[in-house]
Order: sequence, then structure tokens, then C-alpha cells
Amino acid sequence: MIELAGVSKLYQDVPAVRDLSLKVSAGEVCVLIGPSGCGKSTTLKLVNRMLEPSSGRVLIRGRDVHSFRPELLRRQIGYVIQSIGLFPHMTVSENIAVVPRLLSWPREKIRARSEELLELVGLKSAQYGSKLPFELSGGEAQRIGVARALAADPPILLMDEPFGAVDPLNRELLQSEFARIQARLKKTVLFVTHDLDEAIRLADRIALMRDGRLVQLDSPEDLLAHPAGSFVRSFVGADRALKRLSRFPVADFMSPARAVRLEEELTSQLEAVRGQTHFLWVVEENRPSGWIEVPPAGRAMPDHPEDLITRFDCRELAVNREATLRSALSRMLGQGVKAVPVIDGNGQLVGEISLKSIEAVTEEGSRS
Amino acid sequence: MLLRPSVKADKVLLSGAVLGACAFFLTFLSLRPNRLVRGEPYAVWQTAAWPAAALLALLWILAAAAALLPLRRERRPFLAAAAGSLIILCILVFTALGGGRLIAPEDALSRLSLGAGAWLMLVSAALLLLKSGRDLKRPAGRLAGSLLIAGVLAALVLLLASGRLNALGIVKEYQVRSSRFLGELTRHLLLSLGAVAAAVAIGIPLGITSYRKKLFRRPIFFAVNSIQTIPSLALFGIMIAPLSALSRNLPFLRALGIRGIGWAPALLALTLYALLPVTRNTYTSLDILDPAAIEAGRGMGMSRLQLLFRVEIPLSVPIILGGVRIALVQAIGNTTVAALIGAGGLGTFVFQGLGQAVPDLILLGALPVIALATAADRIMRLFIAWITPRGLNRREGRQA
Repeated sequence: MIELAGVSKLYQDVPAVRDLSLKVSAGEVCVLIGPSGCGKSTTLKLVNRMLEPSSGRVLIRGRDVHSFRPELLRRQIGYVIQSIGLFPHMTVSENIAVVPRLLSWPREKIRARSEELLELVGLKSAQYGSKLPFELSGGEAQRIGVARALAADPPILLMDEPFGAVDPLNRELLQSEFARIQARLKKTVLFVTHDLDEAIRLADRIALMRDGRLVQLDSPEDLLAHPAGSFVRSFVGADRALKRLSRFPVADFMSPARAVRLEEELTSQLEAVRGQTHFLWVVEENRPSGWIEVPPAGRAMPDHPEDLITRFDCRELAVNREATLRSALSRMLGQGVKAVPVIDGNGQLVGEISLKSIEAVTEEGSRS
Repeated sequence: MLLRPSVKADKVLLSGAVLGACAFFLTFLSLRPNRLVRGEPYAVWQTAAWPAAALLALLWILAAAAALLPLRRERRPFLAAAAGSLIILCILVFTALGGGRLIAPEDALSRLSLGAGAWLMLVSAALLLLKSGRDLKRPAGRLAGSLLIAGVLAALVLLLASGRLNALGIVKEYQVRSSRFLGELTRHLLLSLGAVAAAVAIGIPLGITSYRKKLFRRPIFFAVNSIQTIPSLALFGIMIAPLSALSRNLPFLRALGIRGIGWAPALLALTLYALLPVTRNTYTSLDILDPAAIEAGRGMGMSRLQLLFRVEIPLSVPIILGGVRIALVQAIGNTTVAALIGAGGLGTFVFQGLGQAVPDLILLGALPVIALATAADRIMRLFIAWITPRGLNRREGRQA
């Protein structure tokens, strides 16, 4: 889909990109990563001709990008930048409609498309369509930035540190939403970041760059398992086994959670599971709020089973089902527990994830 | 006891009311037997019947009450606005009535001028109106405020048209010059507007150049800033020498009416003055454009022209127009001085009046200049507010 063939870019005789060759196939997310100044953003901008290569060729679907007029080329390529660049004088809907309007779509189609995209990035179109950029939070604005880039349904998406300016909590959320959207739309994505965890989480392949050169191009697993040379090894760091956990969403590894409802009679609920498990989550008003130790079979049931409950703050212990195994593990280590509850977007208990299941994943990684 | 710490006395309204109340005791009108001799002072209660004078005094007390009483949000400015406009109305009506009372009908030479007290009261009442205009936030309140001001203006026009203010010296001066007045007014407007139009034509490209080419920024701003420091009278004088030389040597320029004195040097000097606000605001409007918006626009496939018309112009025009507004108000004022080098305009009356020591004639020039400048300011502000995209209003507000 995208091919860079022996591309170099000089800035006043100083090379920013040197003899870089890279192919991104259709539907693939290729993440360019490297220390700052390694030429990753420059490489990205060569694709939609925001910059012109000093030598070498850039091809899209086998056609040299120089055979397109830059404007027409760019309208077929979604472009998301870190500073977003929403137009402050346009509403959210108008911002999304920029490229469709450049392409002279009929008005009704543009309206429908902008509603569809707002829903896709998780914002209610009735509520957000007529808002102005200054009324948006950083995370909301970046969602609009992604929606705007997707507006004309371009097959290719270029993303230049799109989530770099968002706070860590929102960044994780945006990443998982991007992963969800990408799984549905199967765009060909060239994605620049300096955040290795982000790369590991989102990439099909990671292109690690240094001083304008491509150092290693591999799947995240292979990059972590077989770093080529000392630079890559130090870049991915000694904690690469831990980093690998960023690849896996909690939802794929969680097991069903057993729970008692605090609103109902406790003793009978405990009796029903005696002997099968030694602890249960406690759910109060549909939210996990503690756990309870189940007395082993044979021991007498206490008069006040409420005393067996250990309470916790759901916000500190529970992980979202869209979170990664890495953040689940960090919760467990932080709170000193061997399992944490998994909640969905509404805060409802949907499962649990245990240290054992995470260990299974890391063992599998060290064997390969 | 009910305490309302949020509703304190309004200091601006209070100072207006106190100033006006003091002015009540100063000379209201002065009566002069002809246009040159000194006038004889009359106080309010000597001009109008005592119930009328008492009414005016009461209105000032009302204004003070509006400033002091713990009134609810919209009531205070409304009360102050009502008091202010009624006070102006009283001053107008008392002047009209005073003309009938103090001057015999067959006396064509005697004339009235507003005294220090009347002027001060007008200024204080205007202060009340301005302050309350700012505080009236709800649409209904704003409408009421506008209606009050419109009512006062309508009363002024009615009184002037019906001849009831004919005893005023300024009206007498106007009547002698009524044919010239319209001509000078038009000339004044044309000179100001022409200078601003020329400044826009030159200043916007200058602003763009100083933004695009760093090399020129300092020289350009050094030049337009320096012009601004020259006193207007001096600048008009400086223009005389080069233009008369040009006109002497180039006959076709002379044929166009370009000479060392007259409209040509005036237009040139006024244009130079108007350059700074236009150039500076153009530069600023481009300088604060968000580079991310430009990059996003380019990256989405906007052509150079589409970027200009869909992004750059909508974002910068309100700020450039703000510069044009300042330039226009300045130019209307500066054009007055241009009369000294024979350019005509309302300044003609001002300098004639100064020469003949006739204050009423000075006012005949000065008052319309003030009215023109105020009207130009208002109209430009409304236009800018109308043209500014909704998404920018907050940004504008933050800057103010």
C-alpha cells in the first residue's frame, strides 16, 4: 500500500532520513519509533508530500506520489497531528466535514457522515456536533481530530504522535479506542510515536529508527524477543517482558468472576459456593466494592458474615476490560493482591484477572 | 437583617452622580448680546421655572440613589440609564425654554451658550449612560437602554428641526454657514475615509510582508512607529515642501489638483498616520494564527487559496478590522487639523472660531467631529462583532 524505496531527505545538507526503504501492506499498522531527531516524523511527512524527498521514491499502491497533485493526494490520506489543529472558527461537525466538502460531497451525505464518525469515536453527535473547539477537552479534541482524518474514508492514515499531548489516563483510553476502530476499519496506518508502550500496544510492525536510518523492522513480539544489536536492546529496555504485556487486552485473558450481592442475604450466598472457592467479590449497587473470604467447608459459618468482607476502592483496584495486562499487573503489585476485578465502561463487574493468567502469558513469551 | 454583600455601591455611577449634582449649582446658560462679547451667567433655577429646576435636582438624587441602593442586578443600570437620559432631555428642554424666556423674540443678535454646569452635567449623564450600557446584560435591558438613547437623540433632532434651539450660539453660527457646513462635513468624511482606504491598501500588504519576511519586520515597524510619534501638525507641515516641489516640476500632478497645500498633503499625512494600526493588526492577526491549524489544513489537502479563504482570512479579518476601526477613529480626529494646510473639513470652523475668538464656532466644528468619530467607532464595532465567527469570540474576550 505504502512503499518507501531508498528515500533520503536532507535539510541543508544535513540528512534527516538516509536511504530508508519500508513497505506497509494494506490494513497494517506500522509504527515508526525512535529517539527524537531520528527522522520518524520527517519520514511520515514524505508520504503525503508535506515534505519532498531529496532522493528515492515514495509509492502509494505502486504509483509514485509525484504523479498526484499534492492536494488531491492528501485528500485520500487521513492526517492526524499531535497539536490536532482543529479550526477554531468551525463547529465540530464543520471541522469533520472539511475534506468531504473539499471533495464536494452532497450536503446530506456530509451530515450523515459526520454523525456516524462522532459516534465511531465515542461522542454523541447530538451533543457534540455543534460544539466549538474551545469547548472541548484535550481528549475530546483529539477524538475529533481522528474523526476528521477519517471523514472521507481514506484508505491510508498518517498519525504523527496523535496521543502525545493527552494525559496518561486519557491516552490509554484513546489507544484502546483506536485499536477498536482499527480492528473495524482496517486502514493502512503509518503511526509515529516516541512511546514504546504505545507502539507495542498498537503496532502490527514496529520500525525502529536512529539517525535517519531504519534499525529494525519487526513485529512487537519479535522486536522484544530478538532485539537486533545493543541500540535496540537498550531502547526496548531490560523490562521488555513487562512491556510485552502491553500487547494483550485484559478482556482476552480474564475469567468469569464469582460475586455476592451485598443487597441480598449473605449466608445463603456463601453456603452455595462453599468448598468450590475460597473467596468472592462483593458487589454493591452493581459495582465491585470488596471481597469476602469464604469459610472452608466443615468450618462453622460465622454469625456475622459481613465481618469477613474486606472493602476496597473500586477506582484503585479494578481495571477496565479495555486495559492491558500490563496495567492489570501494575494494579496487583501496587495493591499487593493476586487478582483484580475487571469492570466495563459502566463500572459493572464483568470478570477477574489473576496473577496466574498473566504469568502464563509471560512464560509463553520467554519460551518463544 | 438581610445582608447582601454582593450588591455594593457602584463607584462609577456614584462619581457621575456627585459630579453632576455639583454641576447643578454652576452656570447653566450664558447669555451674550452678540457673538463676541462675554456672556452673563444664569443658573438652572434662573433659566427654568422652579418646579422644573427641582425636577432636574431630583433626577441627580435619583442617579445617586441608583448608585448607592442595594438594587437587584438589572435594576440598577436601568435606573441609572433612565436618570441619565432624562437629565439630558431636561438640559435640552431647559435650553430651548430658556431661549424663549431670556431673549426677546425680535432680538436676533443675542445668543445662548451652554455654561460649564450644563456641559459638566451632560458629561456626567453620558457617564451614567455608558456605565449602565455596560452593565445591562439581558436582551430586554439592552433594548431598553438603546431605546432611551434613541429617544434622547430623537428629542435633540426634533428640537433642532423645530427651531426651538435657534437661540443657541452654535445654531446661529450654523445658520450663517448652513450651505458650507454640509460641504465641509462631506469633505471631512471623504478625507478620513480616503486616508483609511489608502492605509488599508498599503498597510495590509505591509503587515503580510513583515510577517512573511523576517528581514523587513523591523524596518517596516520602525517606519510606521516613527510616523506615529510626529505631531500631526508637524506632519502636515512636512508634507508641504515635497508636494509643492513635485507639483512645480510635474505639470500633470498640478492638473490633478496636487499642490503643496490642500487635500493632497492632508491625504498623504493622514494615510501615513493610519498605517500603524492597520499594519500592526495585520501582522498580529497572522502571527497568532495557530500553525497547527495551517498544517492540518495543508495536510487535509487544502490548496493555497482554500487555506487562505477558509482558514486564514476568517481567523484574521476580525483582528485586521479592529485595526481599521482604530485607524478610522484616529483619522476623523486628525482630519480636523488638516484644515490648517487648506484641506478643508470641519476643522475649518474650529480654526475660524479660534481666530475670531468665538467659542460657538469652534463647537460647530468640534461637536460634529466627536459625533462622527463615535458613530464610526460604534458602526465598526457592530460590524466586527457580526463578522467574527462564534468560535473566536471567547478568544477575543480573553484578550480584551
